[in-house]
Amino acid sequence: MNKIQKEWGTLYETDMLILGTGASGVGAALKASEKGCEAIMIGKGTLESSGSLGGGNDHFMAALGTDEPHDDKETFINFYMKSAYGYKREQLSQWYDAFKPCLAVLDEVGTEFKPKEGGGRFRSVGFGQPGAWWLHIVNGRTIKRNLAKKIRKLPHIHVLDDIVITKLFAENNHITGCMGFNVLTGETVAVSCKVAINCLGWHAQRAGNNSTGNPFNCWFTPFTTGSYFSLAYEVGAAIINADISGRTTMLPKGWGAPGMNGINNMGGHELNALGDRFMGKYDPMWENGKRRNQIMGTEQEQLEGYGPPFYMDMRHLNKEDVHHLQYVLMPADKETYLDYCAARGIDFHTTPLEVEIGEIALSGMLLADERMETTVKGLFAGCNFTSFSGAMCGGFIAANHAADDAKTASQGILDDAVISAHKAKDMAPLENQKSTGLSYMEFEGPIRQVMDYYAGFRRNMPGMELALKRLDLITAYKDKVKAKNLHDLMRLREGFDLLELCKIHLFACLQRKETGRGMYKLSDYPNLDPNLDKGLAVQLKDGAPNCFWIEKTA
Amino acid sequence: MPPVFNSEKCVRCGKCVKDCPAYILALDKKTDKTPHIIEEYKFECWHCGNCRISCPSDAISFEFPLYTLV
Ligand SMILES: Cc1cc2nc3c(=O)[nH]c(=O)nc-3n(C[C@H](O)[C@H](O)[C@H](O)COP(=O)(O)OP(=O)(O)OC[C@H]3O[C@@H](n4cnc5c(N)ncnc54)[C@H](O)[C@@H]3O)c2cc1C
Ligand code: SF4
Ligand code: SF4
Repeated sequence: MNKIQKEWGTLYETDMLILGTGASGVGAALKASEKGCEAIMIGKGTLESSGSLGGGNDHFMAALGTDEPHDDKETFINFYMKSAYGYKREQLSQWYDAFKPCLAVLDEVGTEFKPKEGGGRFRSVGFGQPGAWWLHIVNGRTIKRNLAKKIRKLPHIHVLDDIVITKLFAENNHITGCMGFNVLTGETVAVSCKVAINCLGWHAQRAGNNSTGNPFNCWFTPFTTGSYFSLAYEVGAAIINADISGRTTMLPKGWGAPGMNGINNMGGHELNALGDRFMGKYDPMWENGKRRNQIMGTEQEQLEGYGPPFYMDMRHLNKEDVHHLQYVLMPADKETYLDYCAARGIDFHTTPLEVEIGEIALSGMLLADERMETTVKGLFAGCNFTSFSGAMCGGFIAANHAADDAKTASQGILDDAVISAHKAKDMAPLENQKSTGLSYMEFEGPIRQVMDYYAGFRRNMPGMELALKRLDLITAYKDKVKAKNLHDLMRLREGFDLLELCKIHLFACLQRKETGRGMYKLSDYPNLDPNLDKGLAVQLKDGAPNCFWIEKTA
Repeated sequence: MPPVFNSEKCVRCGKCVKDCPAYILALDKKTDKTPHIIEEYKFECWHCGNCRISCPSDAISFEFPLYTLV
């Protein structure tokens, strides 16, 4: 790694650039180091606490090829091939192959998994999957700390904390680097690279509100707002499934916390206001089926007036399981879970947990080939797979190929004049102190206002067209924003990336004239169209979004 | 509002401030007995508990905002 002082700030040169320091970035760093590839990991926050893994995770998904039912590679690949368009069997095969090395690292750093009676690790079924693939983690709250300790000592890996990435650079459709600013010092930082792994997180939050109206009180980390897509899209990466990948979960009432996978897969029952269990109407696997069905089912009950309130009832489970759920899994999933329970007087043994439908998180994938390389050469997709396991293994396999390519790729050249011009643009809101200037909440709030109003669980085409126009209006206000300090400047950047992803989402939704594949219903196209059993990609062409369909592969 | 700092226990190491992914905690070692949450940004706390995980002296507890209780 070279560090060069420039008039505009600091330039780093490295072979591999790892964008983002969450679970996916961790996976990428592990593989880069193993392959002896010099890499810089760069992101907001500190490696110890950044991303959705920061405050805990309680499950890691892995099919392990044992003689337990449906634990083999073929079943795993077949399940995920059906879960999203754009996956390739070779990609999923590599994900499966990465389970064991990633689990070995988790073991090495002291992750405790719930043991199974008679030996091995306990696993349960989740999300309508055929096999029991979900390992239970007992000390989830410290996973990220423990991984960070290892990564900080790894050869060839350098970590740059506290950097907000504002731009990626590409030349002749090959990635050359990125730039951003240090949120504590304001210094401009740029990194030139030979290859890059995008690990900026595929769940974008703050696109909508839950019942509390606080966008930061959300399910996934609120500091991941779509940069994975927006920054890559800007340099030419194609995005797939932006129309249908939006998702949400059932939240404990009033609180942005996960945990529903544990509750569903341990056998929790969802009840409506009348005390009736209803999920059988919406999924053959009831609560432990597809999360989309749980949300759409609950939404339907709500429309029909059978709730709110809704509850997750665990009282029928055996005492040991309920104790494991509330006192082991939940605080492993979110560090403050028991404080919430104490504040609300919640005891899973005696009272059903009140829940609500959470905010919609936007998502999708970067269109990638068998080697996880995106449509921008040298830029690899680190966050195309779901959950903790998908993020860590996804970074791991992307870095495997990127490290190979780094041996022959040339060093990206970043232009000082271009960086200086972008720096001036990035910092401009600090100069704007006009009373008419928009604060980050005044800029970002209207995005949610549009999305919640026109792009919720029930929508129609004219509404989405209007929503897109309103988002264009918000875009026109980008040069009216102001920031008092670097914290505000960071939030503004998060808002910009969020806005771009919302536009990509709506643009894609307007092409898909059917109901049934995404987490929303269209009143003007209420039925599933069998001809649309294919993926939709969006790519920037000559400054405008351009769509194309991706045929399903077997 | 979360988090709440116990001045008896806090050793003013600043670890919670460094590891808060929201950048909403502050500690002026010259004047402050404990860190504090920056009033203007307290709604950005996502209750991740990273401040408490980092704390070497068990000085942090949580008080949930009213909107999470209704
Ligand atoms: C509380 C909680 C519990 C969960 N429990 C489980 C579980 O038990 N099992 C499971 O499988 N999954 C669980 N999940 C989901 C799982 O944690 C995530 O899927 C996974 O951690 C995602 O990792 P990632 O690296 O892809 O993305 P992220 O964690 O979002 O990481 C992206 C990183 O990039 C940074 N970044 C983004 N944009 C920028 C930018 N412009 N500039 C600089 N940095 C940027 C972010 O700050 C972040 O550090 C849970 C999630 C949460 C929030
Ligand atoms: S709980 Fe998380 S977001 Fe809130 S102050 Fe602590 S570290 Fe920061
Ligand atoms: S980490 Fe704990 S001891 Fe250190 S400053 Fe924060 S509250 Fe005080």
